[in-house]
Amino acid sequence: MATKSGRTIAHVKERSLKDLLLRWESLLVLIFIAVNIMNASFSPYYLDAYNLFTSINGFLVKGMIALPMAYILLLGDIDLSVGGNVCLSATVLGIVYNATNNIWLGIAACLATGILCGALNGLILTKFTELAPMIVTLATNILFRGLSERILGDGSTGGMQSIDWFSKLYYGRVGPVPYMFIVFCVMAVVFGLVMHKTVFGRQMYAIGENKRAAAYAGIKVEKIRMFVFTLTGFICGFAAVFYCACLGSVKSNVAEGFDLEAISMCVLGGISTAGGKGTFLGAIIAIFIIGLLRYGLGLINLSGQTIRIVIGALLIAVVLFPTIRDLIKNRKAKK
Amino acid sequence: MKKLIALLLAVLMAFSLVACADAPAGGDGDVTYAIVCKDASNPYMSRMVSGFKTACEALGVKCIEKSPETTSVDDQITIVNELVAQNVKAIAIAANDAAALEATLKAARDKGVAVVTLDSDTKGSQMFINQAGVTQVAQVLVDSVYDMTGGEGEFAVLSASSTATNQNSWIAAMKTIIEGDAKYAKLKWVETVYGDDESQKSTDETQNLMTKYPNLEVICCPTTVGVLACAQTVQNTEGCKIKVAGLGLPSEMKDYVGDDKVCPYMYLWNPIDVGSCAAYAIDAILDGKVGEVGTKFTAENETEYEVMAGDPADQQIIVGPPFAFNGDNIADWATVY
Repeated sequence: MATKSGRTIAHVKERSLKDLLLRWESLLVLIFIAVNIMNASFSPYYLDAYNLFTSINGFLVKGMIALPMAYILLLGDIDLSVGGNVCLSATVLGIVYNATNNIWLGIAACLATGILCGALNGLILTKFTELAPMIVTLATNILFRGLSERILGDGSTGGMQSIDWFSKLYYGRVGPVPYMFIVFCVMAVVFGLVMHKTVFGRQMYAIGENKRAAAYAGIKVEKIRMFVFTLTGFICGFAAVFYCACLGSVKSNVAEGFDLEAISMCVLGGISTAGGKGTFLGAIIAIFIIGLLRYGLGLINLSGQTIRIVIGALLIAVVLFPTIRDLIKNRKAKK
Repeated sequence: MKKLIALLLAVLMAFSLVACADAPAGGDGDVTYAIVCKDASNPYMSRMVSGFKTACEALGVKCIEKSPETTSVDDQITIVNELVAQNVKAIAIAANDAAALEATLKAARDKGVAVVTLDSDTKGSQMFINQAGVTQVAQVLVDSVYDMTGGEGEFAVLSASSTATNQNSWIAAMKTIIEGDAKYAKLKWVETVYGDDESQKSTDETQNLMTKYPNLEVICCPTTVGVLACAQTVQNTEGCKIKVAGLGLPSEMKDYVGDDKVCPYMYLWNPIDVGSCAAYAIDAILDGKVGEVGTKFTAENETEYEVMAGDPADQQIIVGPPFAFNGDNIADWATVY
């Protein structure tokens, strides 16, 4: 950018180093390291690989949902229905399994439910573009959970854990590393590559930046939104399979609060809810910051309420970071 | 820029300093028992915890209390994993789900942790500390309804959440008792509603019942949050003749219990005893005193318990029969819990 104006390479380098250090991801890496140092020093039990992976498994279901959520936020949309979707998909898995005694049918029905729920969101939002995604998905969230409540009533459905390989989806490990962690890593790499290395990814950035301009540039905005909402639904169904393997029993209040948790992870990761900004790496680091901070604070037996306060304060502090960064930049510029 | 880096480094150093000072906190020599409640904001649960803590002190062991923010089973799984990671010797848990904790609790037991359930049972537990036999509770509730209606009339049940294990087993047992005895044939059970152990929702559900069933005579609430909300609502409705029966905390219910009040009498067990019984049972289990189903053991609190078959826990013991609070004794008990 600066070479044409005749500036020296060294100058450019210095600038880019500064930019690198001032990047959101650098801050996140520092927080990530700080959280780990803090956890390891506060609790002698933190660095036990087996227990650490047990705790990581505990937040990966939410982490999986945060992956497509990053796409949704990138588009400038929001999806508050993922919790309800996971709940309904898990319910369907349990019901179909118990009715047919065939776990594969259960899993297929679960994935199909996820896709249908996501497609419903997409359909409403792309056919009636004047509707706000926040309101629509808030409503579908209530709808999905309501359906689950209607199906299950005051009972629960389960029995999936008796199938050994199915419960291994969540509990199985290679050494200390859970299968689910490996699945999550593969998903994260694929999602990251698609977001940053493909035309589709750049189109999502363009839509998030300015929907109308993107449409004039020939991007099929509504088609892409429809696809991303459906994809989110599919991942919800996929995550619900692992969630069922974890719980072995589903009732209508499971997966409560997953929506906001997934959104907080993305926002902490630097993905702007206004759309068009952020990187996938940031979101991945943020998933682990929130999850491991929870675990560390839990290990020193802070109460749930205190942990909430800490996480809330962290979110505010980190979201304020760009403002502070701009202040520093402006002061430098004045000098 | 330099300032920013310096600041971050300083923060890191501060962390490590605090850490050095704090590191030896959790040595391996200490014996620790942990108690996990249904949620952090339930006064009944905090009484249970206080009993557990006192008993732990008497036994000379450390005690950790940890509870999820809401009645979520996800959070309880996380908490149990955190406790296992800290090498606690035993966990007493009031389960938020009858099945979902099974794998987690089994994993804890595989690591040598003693696991008992109290208040609400779940699969995977070694022993359920039963506050009162299910049929005993259901029987006193049905008899309260029978007595307060005068033997015939409409009544409704206001429960906690529709998935709470203990609530549902009491309600099921009440049904069995009523259907199984001609004495109760004239009682008409109009509806069971769920207040989710939230004051506002319980109040709303009570008002709905009052509007829907003008001839309603008794509302039976086997939950401490529900019975309070229900009694308040009935008392504040002018001309309402409904009586309230159920399980309540004396300190919360003292203004509503009495012969000429909305709730003539109610029942509960002593949550402090439930908590302390759990700690003594854990101690007995770790000492190897607890034998097969059908045998008896004497715990450190010099009480003899009979080991019974559990469902779904492996075994269970019963703390004692439910205790009646009426106009004569409520004031005394209100100062206790």
